[in-house]
Amino acid sequence: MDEKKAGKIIGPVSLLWSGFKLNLLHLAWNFERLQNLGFYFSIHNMLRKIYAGRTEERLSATRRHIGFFNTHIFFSTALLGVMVRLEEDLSDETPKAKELEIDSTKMGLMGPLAAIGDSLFWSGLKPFSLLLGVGIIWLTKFTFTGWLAAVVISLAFYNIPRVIIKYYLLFKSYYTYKELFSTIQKVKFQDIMKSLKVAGMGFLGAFTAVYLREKQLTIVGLRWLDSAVLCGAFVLVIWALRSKKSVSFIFGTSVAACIVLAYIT
Amino acid sequence: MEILISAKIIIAAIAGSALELDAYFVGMTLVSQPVIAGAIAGWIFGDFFTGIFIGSLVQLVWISPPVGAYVPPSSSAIAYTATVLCINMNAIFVHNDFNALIMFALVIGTATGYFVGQADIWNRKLNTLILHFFEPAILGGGIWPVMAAQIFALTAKFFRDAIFYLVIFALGTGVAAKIFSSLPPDFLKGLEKALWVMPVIGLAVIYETFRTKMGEIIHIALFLIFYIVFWKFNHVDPAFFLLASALACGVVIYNFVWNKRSR
Repeated sequence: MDEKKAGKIIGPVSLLWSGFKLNLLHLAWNFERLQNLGFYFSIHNMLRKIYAGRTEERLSATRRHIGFFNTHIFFSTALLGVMVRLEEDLSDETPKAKELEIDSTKMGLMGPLAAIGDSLFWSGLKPFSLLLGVGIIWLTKFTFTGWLAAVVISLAFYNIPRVIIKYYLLFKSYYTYKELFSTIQKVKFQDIMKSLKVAGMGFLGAFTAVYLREKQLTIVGLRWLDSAVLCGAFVLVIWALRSKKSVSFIFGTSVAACIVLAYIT
Repeated sequence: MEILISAKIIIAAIAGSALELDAYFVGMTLVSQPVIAGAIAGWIFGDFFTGIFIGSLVQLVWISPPVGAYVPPSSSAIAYTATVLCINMNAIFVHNDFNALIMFALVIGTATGYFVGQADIWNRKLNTLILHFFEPAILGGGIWPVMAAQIFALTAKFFRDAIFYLVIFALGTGVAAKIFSSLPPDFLKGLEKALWVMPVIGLAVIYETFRTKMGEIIHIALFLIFYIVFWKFNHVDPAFFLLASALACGVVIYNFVWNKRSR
């Protein structure tokens, strides 16, 4: 890596600072060009360094990066690294070719990175770490220490991979951008996702057992009958979810059904 | 109309809008999640237990990620508002239905969460106007226009939420308490039953989020094992629960997910 670092205009501190600024990627999210302002805000200081003393080229780069941008917030660092590297390496003698290369690379990378990020974080790590947290809170009967342990575990489980992936991709994509895709392909995201889902289902099974055993009787007064009612409600909710009903719709319908039930019984 | 205004309500409104920023606009570190937001609201108003309970319940139900461009209701706003309203309503009038009160606060909280989600769409539309306003200056190459655009977007979102929370907490508590105290007993019983069913919705939502064939098998196996363990011992140590679940899941994942391709 040291050899690769030699001769580069952008140092690690600038990279870190730009990566940190990507925390604001969604701040000015707009329906026209989505995350463009956040991305330009992050890359701006690097463009100033790359095009120091070359105003015309810097303004061309500004026009390039104020355009459409949309990817996963934690994987956006990979794009940042690649973009900075291309801005640095590609010759300014043929500006049209440079613009085409940068634009097509950006467009080509945004979609796949968004897809990986969405499935890994939004459908995997986030619900899994929150499930762990809620499970611990219920097990420890809503005590402060239980809550504290749950929060620490949840935040660590989600944020440690988040920070590692974010900054690893940033440095990897800047110093060895041509190897970015082969590096990503080496990580078995499918297996990681499958593991998270299997572990999530396992924890959920254990958690459901704890919930059913600890639940106070309130509807019928017989534990087995109450459990049966809950199982029936569970199956109904699953059916509703598979029928593409939203969680909020199910929530509202359940409240209404319980009120009607209270009047009938 | 009764207006509740105090230092606690102002602090709660500011803290709530700061938490809302983390939900999507800044960082996305999970500190805005209901399980934390509810507890913070509970801590501000001196009832940590209610905050944790409401937060964890909301967390279970609204744990799934949004799909595509759909802007979901803010689960953070649901937990935060429900906790504040529940604790404040409980403080201003005498009643015997705390569970029904929690459920009633959750219903109002859900409506609030919807509004905050909808208002985020307005913010994104406003961001388009902000982009158009600052774009000519940004194309001039300076850092200040882009920083100004970001700051405008941040303050628009922050103050909108802070004012909204302030109005809901200051005006909404009295109105909600009056409505609740006028509800017939059967209606309150219905709300109690609904609270009882809420975790089931959450468990079903998570089941659908994680569902795989192998996952279903381990789900049933661990459910049966833990049900029997609880039936036998009536209590289980949380650390044991976590370690046993992690070990079981680890063995299955190691053998059936990671070893599969190397064989």
